[in-house]
Amino acid sequence: MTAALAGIRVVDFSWIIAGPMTTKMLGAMGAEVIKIESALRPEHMNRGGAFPILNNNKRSCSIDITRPEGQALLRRLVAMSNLVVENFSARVLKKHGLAYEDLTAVRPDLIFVSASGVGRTGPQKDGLAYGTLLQAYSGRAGMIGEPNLKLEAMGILPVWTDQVTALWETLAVLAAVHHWRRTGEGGHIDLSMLESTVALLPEALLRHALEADGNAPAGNDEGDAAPGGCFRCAGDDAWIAVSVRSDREWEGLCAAIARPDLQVEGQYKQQRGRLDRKRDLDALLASWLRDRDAAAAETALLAHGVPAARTRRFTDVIEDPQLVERGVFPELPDGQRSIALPWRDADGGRGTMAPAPALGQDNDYVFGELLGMGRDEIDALIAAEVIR
Amino acid sequence: MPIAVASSRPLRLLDGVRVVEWAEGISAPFCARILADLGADVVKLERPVTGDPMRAAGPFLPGDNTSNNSALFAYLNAGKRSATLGVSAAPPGRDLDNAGLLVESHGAVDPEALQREYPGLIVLSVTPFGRTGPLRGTPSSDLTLQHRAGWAHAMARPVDEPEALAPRGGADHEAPLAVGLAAAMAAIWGLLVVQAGGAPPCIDLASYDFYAQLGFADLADWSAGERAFGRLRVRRDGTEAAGGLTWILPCATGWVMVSPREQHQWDKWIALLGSPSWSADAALCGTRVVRRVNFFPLQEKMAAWSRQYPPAEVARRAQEVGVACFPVSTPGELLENAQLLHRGFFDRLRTASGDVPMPGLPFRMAASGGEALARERALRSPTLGETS
Repeated sequence: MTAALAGIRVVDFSWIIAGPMTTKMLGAMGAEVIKIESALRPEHMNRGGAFPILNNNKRSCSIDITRPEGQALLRRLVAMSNLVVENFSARVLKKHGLAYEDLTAVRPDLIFVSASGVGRTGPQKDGLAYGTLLQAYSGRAGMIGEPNLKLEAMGILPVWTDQVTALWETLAVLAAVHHWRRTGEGGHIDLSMLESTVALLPEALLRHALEADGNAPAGNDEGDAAPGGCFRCAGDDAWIAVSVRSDREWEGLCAAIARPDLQVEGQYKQQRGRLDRKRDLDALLASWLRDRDAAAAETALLAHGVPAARTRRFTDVIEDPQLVERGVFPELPDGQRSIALPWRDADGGRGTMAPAPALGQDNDYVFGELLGMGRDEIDALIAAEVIR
Repeated sequence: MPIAVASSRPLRLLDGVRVVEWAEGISAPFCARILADLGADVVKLERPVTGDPMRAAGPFLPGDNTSNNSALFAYLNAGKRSATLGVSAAPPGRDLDNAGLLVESHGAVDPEALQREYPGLIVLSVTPFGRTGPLRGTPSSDLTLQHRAGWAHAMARPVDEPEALAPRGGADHEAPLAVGLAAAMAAIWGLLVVQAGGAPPCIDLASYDFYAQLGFADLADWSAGERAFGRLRVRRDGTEAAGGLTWILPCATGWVMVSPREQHQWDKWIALLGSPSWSADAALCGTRVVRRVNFFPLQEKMAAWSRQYPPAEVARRAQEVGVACFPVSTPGELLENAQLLHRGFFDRLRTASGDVPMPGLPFRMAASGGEALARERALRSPTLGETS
């Protein structure tokens, strides 16, 4: 398979989640990603938590970007690269002479991607933002569950905004590379994490703007399923999700729960009538499921064509034969399981996958091979703590 | 590399790309919608007479009794052209003559056969379980997929009362829309493979694979030895957002979230609160570790201050002193959000009775040639079969 991003070099200043997830995907598509790191930053030193999952497919170059000598080296590196990815606060790169305007002086066709909380323009552009707070600001946290002092089950955990930001960011980069190959033009992409999240909440906004009755779907309410939702089964914290959205699924449900009498009842014949009586139908299904084994109920419902799935924990998911067969969580040579690209090609490929690099692992490649520096020059910069 | 001359034309990153969409539901139509936003020419093939069933789904646009009045359909399909299939509703044929990419959600096409007939065609299938594996064809909905994939479990974990807070899916249509976003990324990946000289790929994207991969944080815990993933909260340490240094606070009406996580941020936050006497108590809040332990007592004390003001006021004052803080927005507040409006985030959906705001692309881009991505666009919902 020809690599989509063959010949594309990325200078990656990003950190935390969204940016690293973006550049990991770019690396999986064949780009050469050079992650700019520093022994001065705890995240780069520790490399714990999700770091090995978010930083595959990259080279690591450690350099102190606060030092003028380091900045000069980085400008030389950018001059021989196609893409810069960053998520600093607005003033950091400007202070270091590494802003878009500074870098296009050495690389006019550079593609430069900034991801920030609310974007690099507008009245709140200098505000401080974190992904979890943006999940609240986007409005989704007020829809998934009732806001509560313990931050439970309301869409603050797990991380969402960073993940959708990474998708939009990668999408924007790919489209920009497509344009660059066609026209030779680069450009500046200014991506807002807030907008990335809100863009996926259209029905809530449309309902409000149209003063329409009812709420957008949220949590376990799909809006168009009756019965439908998440129901308790027998056993310790056992749950099942069921969706009945069509006449065929309704007939399947009536058969699965052995209630042919319901199927002939006029008020339930059509979807509209079932939605009007959703509360009753949900109660009926809940009582059928309450004392049943979730796995057995799932099998019975699926056998009758009713969408159903017992709620699974990650331990079940990672060993699911479907996901194993499709290579969703590949094992890397260092033994670490990771996540691959979210699609497969006809050969089952999900992009190249390499373990996350050690800090500064590729310094010799970057400073020696790419920038053409000699051993003495590199050693002098190490001694001067510019490379660290 | 030639730099294009500045022009008044909006930037079309995918100019010249011709896409045929033969898809229903949310994910695949949204994929093609994004490609249209980026400048591709998209023809949506619909079933005859009724068109995409989404045309019949509310909320509806006022003053319009045609099949073009579904607001959600409009959001998913604005900017495309519509053509109807023949009565046989057979898979797309002659429509593919000039297309570079087919986006399909029916899983009923044979990609290899299509590529034999149209050698330049990229085929992108977006289906619940993909084209391979034991679960292929299993009945599902986006809600049941989120439960099966572990995502719903993570959305309500950890909690103090698992019985009261069921596992749950996301807000609005964000989960299937994110699948569509990943699919758009896959589509441009395919275009880039072709651009790089490779054979047009057949792409197989499964919603289930995607939802499973959202659990990257669980994968990190699993890699560290976690297997139970119990929903019952057994300890607080480290389970709250940002390690317990992010609080939700009630306001006069509504809520804010605030994260004065660093010492210097905490100092400024306390000064904003008027340096109350409790803030001098080192055993209550002297260090980050102590503040995490005293999450709830501190929340109660900070709430005594935040309850005096509306959420926007609390957030504004906190941000003024350099502390990350945002309201938990409502849909109405988002539509009037000064930051979103300033950046021209909302497109306008043209309707018989005026314009309705809806989310646009979450990034701005200015190309080095001077063209910029259009913002605040006026878009229409495609009329059924308008191109046929």
